[in-house]
Amino acid sequence: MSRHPLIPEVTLALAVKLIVILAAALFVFSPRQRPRIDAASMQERLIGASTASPEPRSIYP
Amino acid sequence: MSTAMDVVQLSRLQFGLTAMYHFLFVPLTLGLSILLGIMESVYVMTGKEVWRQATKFWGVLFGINFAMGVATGITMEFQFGMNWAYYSHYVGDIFGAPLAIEGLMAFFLEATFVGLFFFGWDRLSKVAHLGVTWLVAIGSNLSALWILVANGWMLHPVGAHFNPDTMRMEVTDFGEIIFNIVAQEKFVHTVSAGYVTGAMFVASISAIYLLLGKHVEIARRSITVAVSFGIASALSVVVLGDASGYTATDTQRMKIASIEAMWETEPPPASFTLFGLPNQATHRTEYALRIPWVLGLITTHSIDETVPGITDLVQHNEDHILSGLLAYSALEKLRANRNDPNARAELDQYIGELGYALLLKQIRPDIENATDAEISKAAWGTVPNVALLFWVFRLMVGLGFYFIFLFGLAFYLTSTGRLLKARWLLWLLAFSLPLPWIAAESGWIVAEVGRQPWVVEGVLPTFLAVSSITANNVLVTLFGFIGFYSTLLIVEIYLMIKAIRLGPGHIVTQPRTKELPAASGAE
Repeated sequence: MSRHPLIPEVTLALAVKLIVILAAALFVFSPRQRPRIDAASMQERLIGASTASPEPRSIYP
Repeated sequence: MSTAMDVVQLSRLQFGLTAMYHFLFVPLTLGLSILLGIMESVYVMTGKEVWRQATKFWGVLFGINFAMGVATGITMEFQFGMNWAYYSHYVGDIFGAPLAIEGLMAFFLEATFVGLFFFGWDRLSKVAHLGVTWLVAIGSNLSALWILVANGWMLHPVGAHFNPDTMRMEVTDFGEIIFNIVAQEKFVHTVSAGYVTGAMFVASISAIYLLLGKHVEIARRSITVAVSFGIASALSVVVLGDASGYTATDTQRMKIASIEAMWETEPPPASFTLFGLPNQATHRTEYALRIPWVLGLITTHSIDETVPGITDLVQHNEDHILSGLLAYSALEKLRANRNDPNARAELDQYIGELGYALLLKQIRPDIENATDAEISKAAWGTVPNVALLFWVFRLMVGLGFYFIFLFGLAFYLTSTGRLLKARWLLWLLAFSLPLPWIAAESGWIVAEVGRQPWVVEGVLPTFLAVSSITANNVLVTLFGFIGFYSTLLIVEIYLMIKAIRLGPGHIVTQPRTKELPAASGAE
């Protein structure tokens, strides 16, 4: 395997791919660019700022 | 495009395309690794050099696939953080664990032994190298296990509960998550599909060699192993798919009803719609061609159990939404006062329905004041794309039965020594090469589109799981991924074709290894 004629091409393709993925991880998807979510923002997303009580409603058909 | 598609659709498209691209490599890795183990086992048992050369040749193709596929899945983890930040916070405690284990255990096991496989031929004993090859196969399959444990939890969330203080789901029983029936059935079904892919790959390329009269000694041995492994795998994938469907009748009833375009509940045993044109607007299936009893028998394994139809399930989901509103109200009170024991008790009682109430958020923000019409609309929103599921499922199942027929026939002709003369079947095998990938990708579409509108079934709607980012943010990375992955795919196909054209004769053995007389003569 170590002398297979395709080794240079496979190695080049693998290296380019890993560099692109690493660059994406560092410059596009880094923790700095990710939205930060905590319990408060999750609350805002799920139940919002509203504190109104729901109207009484039967849960049974 | 950004006006036509919102962040949810774009994020789903991006994740779907990335996952489907990644899954072009995975099934071949799963199947080919086992076939390498089988071929090398024959080499170790018989001592015949031709099997060693066959293992090395298919190992080269395995290596190209592994090199081009490795790390293509990691971009999905990037997306969890960027596009699916709310999802990651809400269920990261559960979802993150199997992904981390996959990375730490199976990936390192797999990657380490892949290196030993390629560079250990003349450094390890025969038996030690065989052990390495099997560890590559086990490592690959373990990777799949952990990913499917995570995915299975999204389809059937067990072993976790919602913590209102941290506003996230937390693990209560990790064993329950690992041994989740949906995950386990999905695992065996998926790896079997991978084995079919590996078998078809070896059989198709061997068939091409035989048709061209090239590398005949290796090709005829390889095709024998491939069709034997292929028939066992094709039977497994259909039987295990049936088991998945049986379980889904309990755990994902809307998905089953949608796959079957079954709008109304029928008296048991339900009929199977072989053909039809499902119409989501009218809730009817036009020109339906039904076979009595078959669906009931397949999905319940009985003649007296009911398979609920979509309309009844929607009614049922309206009840879930009403219960969910009580959980929602309790959660609001609890977030305002964490020491409110009544709110906590009420939340505990209805927490399983909270996700259903959240479906209303897509219709209005103050869901407490939702009208009956809005609740009905939200309940109908739990029906996935019926026509897509109906047809893609039939494509997958049709291909599954085709693989049984093809491998069964090829196995019979191999067993009776007539395969090499049946050139029409060799052509059929050659042209069937892309079909396992089409079947596997169809399976993923059924599994993931069928789960909509949920990102975690019954727990978190998809539209609430996406990050608060702009559509343009997603568009930029979407186009980036499409360009990058399309290029990689072209390179992969180019390298594969080049390696296949070079054939086994171009595998240069180490100096202390004897050349293969039989294969050389044949070539």
